[in-house]
Amino acid sequence: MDKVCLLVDIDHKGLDQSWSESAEGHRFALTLSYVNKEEVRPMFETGSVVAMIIFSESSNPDTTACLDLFKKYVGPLAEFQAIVSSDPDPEYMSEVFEYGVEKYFLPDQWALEAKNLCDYVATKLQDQDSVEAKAIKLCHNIAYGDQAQINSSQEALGDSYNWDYVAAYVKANALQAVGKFNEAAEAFRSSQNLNKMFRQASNGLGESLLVLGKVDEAIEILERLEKQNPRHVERKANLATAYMEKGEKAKAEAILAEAEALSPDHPRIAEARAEILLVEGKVGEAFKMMDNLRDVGPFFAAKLNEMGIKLSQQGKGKSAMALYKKAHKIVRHELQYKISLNAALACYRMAEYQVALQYLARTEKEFGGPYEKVDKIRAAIRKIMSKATAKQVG
Amino acid sequence: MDFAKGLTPHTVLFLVDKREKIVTLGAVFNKMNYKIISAISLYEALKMIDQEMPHLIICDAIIPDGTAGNLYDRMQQQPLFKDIPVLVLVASKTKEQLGPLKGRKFAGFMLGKFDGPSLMAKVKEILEGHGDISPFFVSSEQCQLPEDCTLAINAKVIGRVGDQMICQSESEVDGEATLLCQPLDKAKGPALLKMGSNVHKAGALYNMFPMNAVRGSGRTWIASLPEINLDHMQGDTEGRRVMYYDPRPERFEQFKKVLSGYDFELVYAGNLQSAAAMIVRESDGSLGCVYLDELPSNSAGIAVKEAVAKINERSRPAVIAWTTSLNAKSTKEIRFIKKPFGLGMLVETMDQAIKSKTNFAEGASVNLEIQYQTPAKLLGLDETGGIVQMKFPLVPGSKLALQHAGLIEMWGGTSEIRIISVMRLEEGSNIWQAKFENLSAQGNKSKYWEKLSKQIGQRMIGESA
Repeated sequence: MDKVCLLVDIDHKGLDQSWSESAEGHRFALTLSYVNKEEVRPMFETGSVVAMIIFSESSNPDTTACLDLFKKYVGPLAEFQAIVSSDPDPEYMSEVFEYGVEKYFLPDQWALEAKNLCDYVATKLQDQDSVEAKAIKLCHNIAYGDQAQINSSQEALGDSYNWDYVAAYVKANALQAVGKFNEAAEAFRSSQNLNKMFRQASNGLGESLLVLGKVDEAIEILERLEKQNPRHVERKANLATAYMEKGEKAKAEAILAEAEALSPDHPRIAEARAEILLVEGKVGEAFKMMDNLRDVGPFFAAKLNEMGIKLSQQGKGKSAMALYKKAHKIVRHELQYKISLNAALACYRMAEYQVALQYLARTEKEFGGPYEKVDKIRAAIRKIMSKATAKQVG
Repeated sequence: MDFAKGLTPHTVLFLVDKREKIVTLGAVFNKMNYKIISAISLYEALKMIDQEMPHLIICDAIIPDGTAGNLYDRMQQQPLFKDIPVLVLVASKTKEQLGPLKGRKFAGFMLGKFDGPSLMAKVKEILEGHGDISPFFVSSEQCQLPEDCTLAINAKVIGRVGDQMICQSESEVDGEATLLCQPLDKAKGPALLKMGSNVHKAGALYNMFPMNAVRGSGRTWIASLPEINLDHMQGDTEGRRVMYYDPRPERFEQFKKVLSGYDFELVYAGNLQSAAAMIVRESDGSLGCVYLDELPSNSAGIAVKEAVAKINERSRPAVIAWTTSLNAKSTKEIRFIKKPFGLGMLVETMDQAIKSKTNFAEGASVNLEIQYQTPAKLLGLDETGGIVQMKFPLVPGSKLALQHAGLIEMWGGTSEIRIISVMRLEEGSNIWQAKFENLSAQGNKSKYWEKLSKQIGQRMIGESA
């Protein structure tokens, strides 16, 4: 598959007509692909994108949405991305730096600069042992693969996470994806120590601490980052959730209002709103809101699992199953196996053993191989089923 | 093979009948950054040619002890000099003037009265006809030398100040360069260093690298370097006061807000005159650094430079200036950053500028010997050294080691070079070329080149055999 450098047209100032002419005469080491903002996600989903150049003169929510997609599908590779802008203002610089991006191309020089960028990216990726090549593979596996593939590409990082902040960051993401939140927090912390300017590691650490219930520590980190850039919607959503967890609803609402003012349609805002409803016990309203969510992160996924377990343990198995069905549809790909496992447990508690076995099979598939917890539950179910059969025979 | 225009500094020999002519011609040529040498006799000229191996000779048709024809004939007798172009100044189309020029292949003629612009145009045409390089240049391919080589600078790590790694070396490093830091202690891993800056203190040169930008396994030992901040600057905003000049006040307000998150305190100067006044007023060292949105070469820009120069070295704030010029080169007084740039770059540059004021020169040192290395391509050799090509600039004046097995053998075991000039291959390109001189080539150039040419010849025979 060709490796692609996206040319994302946010400004719509005639780039669709002029880009191929500007690129003429240059030899690009990657395939250039012009896209408008609607085409960005599908292009990332092809798995072929390795570099991105965004044509956006000034701050725009679509720009950060593209940077978010790059982070998810390609990785935290700031040097593989650039912005075309003649005079970025400080707030714009600050927003983009949230993703580590520092390359700005002047509009009249973009083609030559893009050639240099493509050369750089291609050289890095030619070396399969480079941290960048390994990071892309790992991010790809987190986005599409199963737990076994995530683990294997995490192992391929070797000891590079001890000395490379990108490696430490992607390792943390992988650990988070396989549910090891304590270890993920440590890896985020290590990435942050290796590069104190790498804000994605600090954001990741804040989110991990939130999942671990270390709310005060999470707030301290997120507030420090807020001071440096108060225009990052995702962090605001995390901060609002953290304050809600602490019981400071007014503060949480105020922060969410700020986030909404910046980007009203950002999916993390709806997610945070649903989280707040759940914390308040407004389950029905939260359920309604969940219909509009997708790619839900580890904190909300953990909350949904926690609530499902509680319902199941209280004997409200059917409600738990309804929750899990919805949750499975909206959480990130790599978090689905846990929902399936909890659904299997809920069925087990309801003595719906055949359905439980089906959920266990799905868990195994999503996990990508044998999973100890699945084996234990399956063994328990089989024991009960064989006893029941023996009883019937007797 | 393409070469950056103006990369090779040309030596031009004037052979004229009167000293006054040299004054006139010299004034025209000095502007072009040519090295001018002169002679007023054939005898003197031949000595000069042997010593300096000029890239062009501008010669009067008639000289006190001969003619341009005599010069040409003498040069043809010497294989080393026969390709040096000769441009003849012919005062009039008389038999006396034109006679001695017949039957010889001169590079050109300038007829009639002295005409500066026409002469310059002709000179440029002749030199560019040679690819704007030395007429003696021989490519690596012709020499049968592999192109791949490594440029290395010996340095030692002395410690860190905050998040800046401090090294000491004899060479300045360019902020755009990516350097491989290779410790001599093989137990320590290598690291990639970026965004280097240079500080001169107490007669020594220090290179600073932000630790946040360091990649590679060497990051592990770099993380444990000892702190050598003798001034015990506290965190927060102490010592992080930045004088900021931007003609757009609204932009200042935005930067003030953003940079306060990184503990910088910005104070505003509305124009360059008030910036200069503030620099003098706050010469007690309270300014961590000075940040200028532009630094024009007019009187206002000069006033700022003078204000900075007035402050004693210990209290003097480092100056950071934005530029859109591709040719702006940082000096030890002013660091230029090319527009547009990212926030991290700005924060790290300001941090470096502020930390460069620290009294680390007197601090204890870990004295860890390292080498900065960078891969390069040896394009070829000439009478003073040669040309290398890299993916980022080097700093002119830097002393480096050119590690290339074949070349070191030809140079008799030495590898020390000095960078003379550095240029982009073409505007916007990420390919840079550097003209270097071999330190062992100093002195009589023809002796050096003759010896080297013989070795090149032997090498070519050896390879073909």
